[in-house]
Amino acid sequence: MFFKNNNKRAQITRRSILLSLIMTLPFFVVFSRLYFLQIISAQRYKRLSDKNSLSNKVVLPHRGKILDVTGKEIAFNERVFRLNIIPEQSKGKIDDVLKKIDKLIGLSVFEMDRIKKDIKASPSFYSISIKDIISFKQAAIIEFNIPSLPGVYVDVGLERKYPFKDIGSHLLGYVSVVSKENLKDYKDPMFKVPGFKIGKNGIEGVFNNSLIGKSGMKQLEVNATGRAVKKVAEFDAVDGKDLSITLDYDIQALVKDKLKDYAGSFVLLNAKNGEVVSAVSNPSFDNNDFVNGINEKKWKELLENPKRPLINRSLNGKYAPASTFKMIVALAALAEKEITKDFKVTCHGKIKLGRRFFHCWKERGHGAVNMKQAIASSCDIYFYELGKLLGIDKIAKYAKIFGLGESLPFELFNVKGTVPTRLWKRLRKKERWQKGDDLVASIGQGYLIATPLQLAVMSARLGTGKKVVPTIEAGKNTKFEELDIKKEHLETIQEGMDMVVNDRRYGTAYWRRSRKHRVWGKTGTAQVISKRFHKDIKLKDIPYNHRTNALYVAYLDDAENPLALALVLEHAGSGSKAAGIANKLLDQIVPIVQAHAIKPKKVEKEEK
Amino acid sequence: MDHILLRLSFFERIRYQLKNLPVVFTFSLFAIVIMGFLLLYDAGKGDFFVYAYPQMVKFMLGFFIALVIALIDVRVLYKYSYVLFGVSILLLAFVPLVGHVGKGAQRWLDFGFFKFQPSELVKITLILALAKFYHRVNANNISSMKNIFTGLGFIGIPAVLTLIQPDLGTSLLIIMIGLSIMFAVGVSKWFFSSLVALGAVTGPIFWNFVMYDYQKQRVLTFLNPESDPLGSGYHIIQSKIAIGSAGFFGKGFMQGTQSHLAFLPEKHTDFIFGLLAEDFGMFGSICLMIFYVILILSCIKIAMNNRNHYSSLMAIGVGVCIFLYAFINMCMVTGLMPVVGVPLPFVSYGGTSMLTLMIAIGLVFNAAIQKEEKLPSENRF
Repeated sequence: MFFKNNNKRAQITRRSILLSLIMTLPFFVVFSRLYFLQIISAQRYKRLSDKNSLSNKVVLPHRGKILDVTGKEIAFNERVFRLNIIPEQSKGKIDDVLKKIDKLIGLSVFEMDRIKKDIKASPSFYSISIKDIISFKQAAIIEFNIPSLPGVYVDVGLERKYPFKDIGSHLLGYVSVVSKENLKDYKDPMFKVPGFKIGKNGIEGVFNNSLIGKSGMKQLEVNATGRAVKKVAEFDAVDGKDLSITLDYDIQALVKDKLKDYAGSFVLLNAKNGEVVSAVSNPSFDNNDFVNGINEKKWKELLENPKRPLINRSLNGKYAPASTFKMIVALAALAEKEITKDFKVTCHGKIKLGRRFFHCWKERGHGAVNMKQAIASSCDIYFYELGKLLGIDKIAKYAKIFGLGESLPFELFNVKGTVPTRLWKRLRKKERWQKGDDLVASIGQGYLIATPLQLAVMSARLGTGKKVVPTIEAGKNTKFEELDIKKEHLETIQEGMDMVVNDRRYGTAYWRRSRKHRVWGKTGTAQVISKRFHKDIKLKDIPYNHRTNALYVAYLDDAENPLALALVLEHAGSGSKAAGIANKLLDQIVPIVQAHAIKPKKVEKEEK
Repeated sequence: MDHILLRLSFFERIRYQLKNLPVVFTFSLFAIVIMGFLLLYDAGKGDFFVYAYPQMVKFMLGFFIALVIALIDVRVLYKYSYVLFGVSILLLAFVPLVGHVGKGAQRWLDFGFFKFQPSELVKITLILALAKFYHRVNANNISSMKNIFTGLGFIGIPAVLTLIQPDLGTSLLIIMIGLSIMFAVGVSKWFFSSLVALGAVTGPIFWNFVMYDYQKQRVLTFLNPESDPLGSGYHIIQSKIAIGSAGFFGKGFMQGTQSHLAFLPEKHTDFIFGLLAEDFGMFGSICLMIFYVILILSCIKIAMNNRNHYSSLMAIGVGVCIFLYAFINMCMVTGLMPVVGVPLPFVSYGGTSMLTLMIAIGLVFNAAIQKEEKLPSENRF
């Protein structure tokens, strides 16, 4: 019995040793598993863990301000108050809190529904917007009552503001939310933040990259439900740079007011450095309407307005230059040595080409006129003769020298316009160039198309003899090269332009001249349809759309601030009317320009 | 020895006996428990009173119970082994009738002031009952048909009762604990080989007809956790990330991001090993494993040193029990096994498992202290 007993003991001992092994070895399985997870795959799981626990919050930069030449803010970021609630902190009394807010500042039923829906849809520690924009007074009321409004808080956001509203709105442009189609073009994560705005057009659009800045980042540790637990790292945002532009908003406002009854555009350049002092297109729109998405009613109004306020006429308005083009033709004739400045033509009011008569604007005719007198009186017959002598291709060559027919190298997009050539007509119109086309082109009608900006540049180049290029960025101070035009030829033209305004006998703008400054100019009256239909009818009896466009280009020769301007008034009648408006404007503008030119530019100093 | 003890007063006797407490065994137990406290302090986000303090109280209580059990005369224990087993079987059978339904299974008996899981208790009483049974079996008859089937009967009753609760995990644990005692006492290796063969045949049947959908789901997600990253696979994936991202030395005490940011599920109970592996890395995990191995091997050593088979088998049963808990839990947390809801012994937060395990520890203490005791009626069959 003892033996057997012992036998069982031996058995238990043997099996115990076996069991020890059986129970120890499996831990090596766990060991190798840990080795695989923690040593071999450690990097992979580390990545997964970081992704799990870190949430990157984008810190938005402040958009740079836009300042006019005097340092006035024409686009800035205004503090707006937003009302939010964190449902979790309301301790289950959300309905009471919302009712109280309704009593204090008023909430629509629609807003109430949206808020309740939002609260239901998000985690309770998420901040929910009650109202996106509340006034300072409303914010004060809420702040005053905050002890009885648990979970409610007011925070300050920034919103783009354009204090000059519809003055110069086309050129300035506006900011608006990033559209989904463009999203993939941008790499910076800030563009993906809902509601983030970028410059869509105009100056806001073109200079967007420097205005917008760079986003920063706040790296937050979040738990499995997404609640931020602590801040891990913070990188500051780089705010956008302020932009100084050459526009003078005192002048802009003045011009805008003068143009308010017309559809048209006014462009004023400083001919010395090409700076655009003023560029107004009327009618216009209020940029502020677009910042948060324009409402349907206003948008419809803008679209359906027959005067088409959305078009930026200064850069993209397409107009026949009419008589303002005559200087180019005259210069071409002189430069190509077809004639001398003493070449005379006797105007009888019309000439015949083939079977067709070509009329002068003055039916009785101008009699015998030389070149200067022809420019001053805008004698069509004289330029018909020059057109016949030159042919379109030679005219086009000089038109291009003065910036017509091509997009100007300007910061903002501007259309090409048209300077026709024989080849151009063959290719585009699939027709042969006719002799008659030469005549029509030589008085700036027909296929010729120019923008107000081009006309202002043309006038600046005629006035200075330099290749003036427009610019809108302040402080560039470019020097322009001389045009390939003989000085004596240019002087003849300039004297002709002087006579337009200041010669009592011939000048078409003499009676509407500036009394304070000696301005050189040229009027233009562009026919929209053939003149024959409206012979001897007063302007107001002609349907608006058939009335002639009034044009005026001018140059003010001043050593410090030479100015070149172009004014186009759609369907406003004769060019001398435009001349009158422009010259009166100049009388007001010149002192402003002089005053502001002396003033040191504030912003530049700050940057240094 | 007996006569010496009998001459001593009650307290002197206790003091004398407690001097014989197994040193290595107790030391490794304390090491594990202290690691557990640290982790629970961490799981409570640095708040001592969330998990760590209640667990300490439970451990103290459990340790007291273990000492009491250690001092119970082994003959008394032996005498009432079957009774205790019978009572726990009755409680287990009682569960489906009045049990408290939790997580899709009726496992709890609600006594009002505390809830109690008879399936935990039955693991201990099964060890006692089987130990008594095989203590009495004659060495030559151990592998006889009659004795094998009686043994299997002992195992089968609680296994089936837990299976119908349904609690497949505990049922399998009970079977393995029971079989390990049969193995330790020397049941023929043929029996175990044929058992493996039988398992291979009945496995598919089991899968199709016995297992519940949620159990099948667990197995399936285990095989491919990424198939359902936000559903059942979430636990396994997040746990693997917690462990893997820690590296060799871990992220540091209280620094685990996965656990602190609540990505790690059940971090104070079943997945606490993930917390350990994240905070202390592979180094900490290996330390814990070494303590477990020492604890388990100490059980075996105590079993081998004891002179009666009953106590030996009891100690072996407890060792196997601790081994199974620890190993299965680690495998589950590291993604080597499907999630079966087995706690990490002495570390996971929870009263029932701590109490059960401390009773088991008490049995080992008992076997260690009273290693010279003789028991009657050996080799009756």
